[in-house]
Amino acid sequence: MTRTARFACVLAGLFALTAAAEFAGHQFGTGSIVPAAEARIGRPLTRVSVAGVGRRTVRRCAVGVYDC
Amino acid sequence: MKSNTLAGIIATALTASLLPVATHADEADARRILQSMSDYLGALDTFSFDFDTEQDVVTVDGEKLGLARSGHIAVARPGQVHVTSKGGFTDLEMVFDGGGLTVADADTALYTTVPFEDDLAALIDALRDTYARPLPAADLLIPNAAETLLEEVTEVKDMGSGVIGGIECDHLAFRNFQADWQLWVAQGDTPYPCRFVITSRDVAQAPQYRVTVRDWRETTDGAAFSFTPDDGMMEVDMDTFALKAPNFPAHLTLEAIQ
Repeated sequence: MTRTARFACVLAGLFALTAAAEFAGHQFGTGSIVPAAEARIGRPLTRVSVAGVGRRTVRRCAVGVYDC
Repeated sequence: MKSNTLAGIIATALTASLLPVATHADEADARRILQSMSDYLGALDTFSFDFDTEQDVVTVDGEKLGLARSGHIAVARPGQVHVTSKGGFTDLEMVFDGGGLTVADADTALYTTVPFEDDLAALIDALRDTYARPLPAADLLIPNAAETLLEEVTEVKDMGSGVIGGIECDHLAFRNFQADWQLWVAQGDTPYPCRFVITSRDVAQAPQYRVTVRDWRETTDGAAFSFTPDDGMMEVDMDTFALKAPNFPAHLTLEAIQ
């Protein structure tokens, strides 16, 4: 491989890396080229309500995202 | 004699359990302050405030992380609410005009509208339970908040006072069988909630949900209670909206419900 070909490969690689980082930043909505760290969140989740049992009996937690 | 002694012990225990438990002064104060906040909020026709919320989540590796949002809420009774709520992954606007609920996300330029002809209390439940977009400090905005919040409480304490955003607030602490919750109530003639914290004691790492109130006002501060989509926004159904503007950022995945 000639020097010119190697230089072209390095340039292409750098371009691909930059594009991937941009894409990741966009995907995660951070607006940053640094991708946010992946994490798996366990259940149950923290409660957002402590309203009494009388109120909860008439509610249904359909989505299951928050503990209610 | 032995059986008589045992009977005496049982009788004493039964009698003691039937006697009214003495209410400590600090507990009575805490209940009075909570009731004063509840009465104050319930009597207001309009109010608005800025808020910061943080919801802890615990990873399967045991790391506790906080998801932070800020926003503004305006309420006009009996049934008008306007909320803006910005996190790192959604930029939400919610408008309830008494007949319909619109939720919009500026980041994805999507919005959805569903008919909703009920009162504020029903809306609070629906936002939290059906649409998983809880209003900040929703527990405090329901009618007769004090009565409802105290239903399952096992301990009540007046913790003195604290200063939040330069405002001196009474600090109250409550426990029930699953969670602890704390409330800071502004001292003076406008006993609004300064901060509300729920600690899920029965969840590993005891994650918290925290809401801090700023710039409390007894007006709606010019909020619009009708929704006008920005140019380029597209209306979608609620399921599509929930998929495109999720409750958690894409890099956090929820474990499946067991």
